[in-house]
Amino acid sequence: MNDLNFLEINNNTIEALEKKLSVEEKNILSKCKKTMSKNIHYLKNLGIENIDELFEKYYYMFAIDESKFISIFDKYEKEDLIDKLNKNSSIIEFL
Amino acid sequence: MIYTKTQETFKKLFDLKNGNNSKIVKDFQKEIDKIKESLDLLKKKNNDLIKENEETQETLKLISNQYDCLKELIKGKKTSDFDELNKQLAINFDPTSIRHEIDEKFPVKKSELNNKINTCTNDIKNNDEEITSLNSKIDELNLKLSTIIDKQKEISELLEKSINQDLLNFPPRPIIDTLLFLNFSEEEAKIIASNMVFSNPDFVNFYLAEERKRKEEIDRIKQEAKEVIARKSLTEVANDKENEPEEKIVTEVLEEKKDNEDISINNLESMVINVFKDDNESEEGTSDTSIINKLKEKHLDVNKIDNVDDYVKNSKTVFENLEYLQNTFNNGIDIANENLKLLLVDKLAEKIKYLMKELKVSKEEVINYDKLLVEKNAITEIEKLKENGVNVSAISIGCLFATDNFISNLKTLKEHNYNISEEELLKYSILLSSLNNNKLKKYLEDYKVIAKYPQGNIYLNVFEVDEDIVHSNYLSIMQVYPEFIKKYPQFQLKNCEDIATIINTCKINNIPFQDENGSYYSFVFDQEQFKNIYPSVELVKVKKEI
Repeated sequence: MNDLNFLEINNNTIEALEKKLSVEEKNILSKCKKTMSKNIHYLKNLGIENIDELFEKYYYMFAIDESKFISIFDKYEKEDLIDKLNKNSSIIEFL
Repeated sequence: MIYTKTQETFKKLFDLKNGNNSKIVKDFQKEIDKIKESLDLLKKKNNDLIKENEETQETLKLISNQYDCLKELIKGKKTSDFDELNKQLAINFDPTSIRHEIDEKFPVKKSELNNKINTCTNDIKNNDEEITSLNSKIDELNLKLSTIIDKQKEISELLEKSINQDLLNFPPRPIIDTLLFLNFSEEEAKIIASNMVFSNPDFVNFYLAEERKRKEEIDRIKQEAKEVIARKSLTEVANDKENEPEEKIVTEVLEEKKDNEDISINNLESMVINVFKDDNESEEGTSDTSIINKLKEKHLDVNKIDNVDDYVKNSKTVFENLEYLQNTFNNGIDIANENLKLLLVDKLAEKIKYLMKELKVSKEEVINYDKLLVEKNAITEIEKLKENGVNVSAISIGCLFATDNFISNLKTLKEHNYNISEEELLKYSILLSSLNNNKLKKYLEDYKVIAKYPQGNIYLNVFEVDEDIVHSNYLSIMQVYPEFIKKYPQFQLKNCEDIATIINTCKINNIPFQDENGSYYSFVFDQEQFKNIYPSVELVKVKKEI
């Protein structure tokens, strides 16, 4: 496919996601690749370890514009946020 | 005309007098603007931090009061004190466990909030220091800038005096110092100073000749401008709008000049010259080589250009847009190299500015979407969204690739009584622009109960879970305790089977699983916890009736 192969994400995750996504979804995501790469990089730098899991489940959040994406995480205490996200990826939607 | 080295130095001085050395002023102004921009950002960031800090302090105060109040209320109380109440209301109020729980959790939360306040306070202090330092820097630069302007004025007055032979016996040193301050070399400064104080005939004659040439040039430009205006009238008759922007500039230039004779004639002159230069270029045609050379001058990687004809044909737009990119972005050249196609797009500046303003994003974020800028009319797409009541500042740029689908999905949600909040709009905007509308409708139909109890929110993650698992688990919990969905429409449905098992087990064994406020005990969500609290109770799975 590999519309999403440009991302620093595990190949298995990309394959699993690509099976799930429709053509339209893949099409839009491929146009947001620079933003997605930057957001993945931001979370990795922050110290988030389960990026693959987060990306597979909440790929659409990674396409949020960089400044808005950062503002979602920026309001929390860094250590606490990393700890909670690493333990449970699903809290990302409630941030 | 070829000038000798000395004449070149003289010319440099005359250009300065005529306001053509504005580069040094412009550089200063650019630096001041840049610092002001950082200062505004920092101030905004600091205000947000102050607000956040106040909120955290307020929360800490509030929970401390509530903790003290609750602790006082249940002080010395035992579970047996509430036997009758528990029995009558079929509840399980246990002051001892509540006491233990708050004593355990409150200090942790308190320390967490205190840490946050400390970090925030330090950040605010550091930002305040930086704001002060940036303000001083701006003051310093403004002072330097005003000194430069004063020195320019001073040297122009001295030059006038020299031409009129009024500078005899004037010491050369102050002239040299002033010129050095204005970026002249030591050698240039000395040449000028000695020529000025003695009103050297070569110097004076050169000056008078240059002034005459300048006046003649201005007269010529005025005449040409008049011709262009006359041509404009003809063009209007012919209904040809193509030349309109250039002619507008010429008219404006002349009107501006008429209104204000004192402003630097050279600046106006160069503007008019540029207009004519462009005009001539388009009339006479511009060779591929000259365009390529011009691109190279701008440090552009010409190897990346697929079709040089496009650039030749659109050279005016290309260079306008290139100049905009270079002036607007710190790394304009890199951006231009990455997105050379962008340079062919009309009104690029307006597009970028509009997107930044409406979507509340930075320039760099807009530039990430080169395809959108080139292939789509982003302004029309945004207007379409606004017409449909979408708060465009809460969405991501990527949505503009599929605005119609995005609007259809928002309409579908509304039809099912989902009121999507701004926070949700931001998180799910990309999902909503890419999700097939029929798929969304199907989900909403299949999970009607969630739609019935939306609590003002929508849990879109349901779309991301395997359909069969959702369906099966969703039905489990609906069979055993549909009210659960009322309380937690947002709960991850893939965990519903486990929750359903615990609630089912509680119901069979008459174990309360909700408190008096209807909140679920934490063991409802955690089988391990349930097993620890009720080790002898065997979990009973829900028999699915699918």
